[in-house]
Amino acid sequence: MTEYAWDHLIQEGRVHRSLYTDEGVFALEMTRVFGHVWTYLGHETEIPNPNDFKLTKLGLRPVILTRDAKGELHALFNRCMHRGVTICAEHAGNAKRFVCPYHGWAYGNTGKLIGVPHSEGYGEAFEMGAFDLKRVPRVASYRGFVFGTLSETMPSIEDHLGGARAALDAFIDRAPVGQLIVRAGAYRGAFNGNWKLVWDNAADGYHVQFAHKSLVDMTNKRYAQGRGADYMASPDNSPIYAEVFERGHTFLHHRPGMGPSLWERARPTPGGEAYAAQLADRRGDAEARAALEGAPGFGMNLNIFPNLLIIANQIQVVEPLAVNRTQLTWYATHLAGAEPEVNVLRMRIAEDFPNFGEVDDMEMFERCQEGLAVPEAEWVDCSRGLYAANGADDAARKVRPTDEATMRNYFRAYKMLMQSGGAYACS
Amino acid sequence: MPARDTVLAPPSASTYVNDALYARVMEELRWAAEAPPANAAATLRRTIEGFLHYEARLLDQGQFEAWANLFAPECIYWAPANPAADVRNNVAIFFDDRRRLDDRVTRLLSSYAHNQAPRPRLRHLISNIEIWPIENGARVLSSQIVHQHRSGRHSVVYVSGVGHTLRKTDEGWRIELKRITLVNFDEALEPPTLL
Repeated sequence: MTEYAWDHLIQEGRVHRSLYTDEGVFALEMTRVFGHVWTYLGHETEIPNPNDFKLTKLGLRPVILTRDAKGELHALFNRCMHRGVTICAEHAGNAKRFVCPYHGWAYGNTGKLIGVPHSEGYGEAFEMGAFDLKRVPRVASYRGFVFGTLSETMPSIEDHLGGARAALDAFIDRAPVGQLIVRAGAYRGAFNGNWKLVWDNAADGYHVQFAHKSLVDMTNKRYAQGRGADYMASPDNSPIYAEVFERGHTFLHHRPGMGPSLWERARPTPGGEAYAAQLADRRGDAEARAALEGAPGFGMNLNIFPNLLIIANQIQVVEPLAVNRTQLTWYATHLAGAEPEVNVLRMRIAEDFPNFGEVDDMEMFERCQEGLAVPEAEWVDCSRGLYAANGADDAARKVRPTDEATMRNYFRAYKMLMQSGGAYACS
Repeated sequence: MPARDTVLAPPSASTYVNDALYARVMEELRWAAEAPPANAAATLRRTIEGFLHYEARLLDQGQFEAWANLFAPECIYWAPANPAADVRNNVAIFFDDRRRLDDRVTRLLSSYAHNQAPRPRLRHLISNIEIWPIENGARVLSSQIVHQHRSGRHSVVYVSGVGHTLRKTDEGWRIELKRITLVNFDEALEPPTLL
């Protein structure tokens, strides 16, 4: 396998185009990043009952995330140990066993091989136990968010989340009983570009007024001041900020610039007035106003390396498909214990950004991929704000929202992973 | 084209998207599983076909404001992400009321809608039309193929079953509900311009 000159390819302030275009780099990422690092696999509320399952992926590996009869979680490779067939084709469901359609090998939802038709053909020495499904060895849930890693040496999920944990907690604690319910379907988009283009963008307060100008202009044209992201017109002069954390996580915090009410700030929503009125009728004005604050986006981009992005009021999962192809899946969320009106409005708010904002981001990603085909222009620049950092980039710190410290930060974690051959150098 | 058709009305409060509306919308899916009456009058069929073709042509010609104005003041433009689920409690690919539909058209027509430059060329093909007469209108099912091509880019084909609830008004036929169920509703999509 080719080894790469990572110190050359990933420098402070610039990274090499081949990281986005080279199939060999992508193949290594699918083990050294997706596989080694705690990778988001799904949410416990997607499989709430004993014997529930859903299909997911760890990098390019097809995985069945199961809850067994006792309630334990398993992440099993969706791959028959006989000839390699994917044993499950349903996206989700309830099943105690998975039977391979090819030759009838049957597995329990713990991964245990429980039946081989005509097994006498393998002789007496055949050991069923040697053919249990391969699995993601470590699976952990953080407040319902389920992650998996192939590494025995990764620190705990809590340690991996590190500084990003507080913001994730805040997102979950919007729910009156402190739990999200992820059972409201998903919006799925795909683009012809590398998965890291999403990361370059994920905490980027610099692009909004340009890439999203069509959305900004529409909002300004049709609605009174104070709706949408008008504070992004001059982000460095607003109170919003970005923050970087160890292990690649980044955070763009919009709320300081959004004023006292997220609901008043949100772009108008289908049914907004109807459900606000219904809620006020049932609960009175003050309680209704407070409850409605749970509906809109939470004013943050929280990006948990490598594939979990919390944006607006939903969970965006980054799924690499090929070096130049990526899927983005936006899972809508309900707040457990919230007023039903609030959870209805959350659905319509969840449809806003994918339709009105992400379309332009994905266009930028595809055009990055096209432009990065130029071999003679080797470098992607991410030096903005570096002059002021004085080497402080290495510690968790707050930076201006347009600062590319967020991009440098995830590339620092990425480089460590790629360089170490997957062994996570935890501090 | 009269000026009225090419200017969007200012946004108005979304007061009609309530539990009753969601119940009506879900009812449309149940109705769409039934057989239409055999005797829809030939004149109604010709009228409906003409209207669907006209709607498609406005989209194919890029006359998005005139297209949006074919919708009733209290309308829904909807592409389910899961047609088996209640859209009241499930996210859709989109579920636009009048106001968000006009937001959508306004954004699409902005010079800065980067995925609209160069403007994708659309072509709607409509077939398999079935009609259920209702009071002062019709419910219509059709199969549609939308071919979307952007010069220098890949083409995308969207195949769907479409349900229209249409109402005859003093100003002509208006769309109360347009539901587009893509055959690949559960797969990743290239964002459609308008379906």
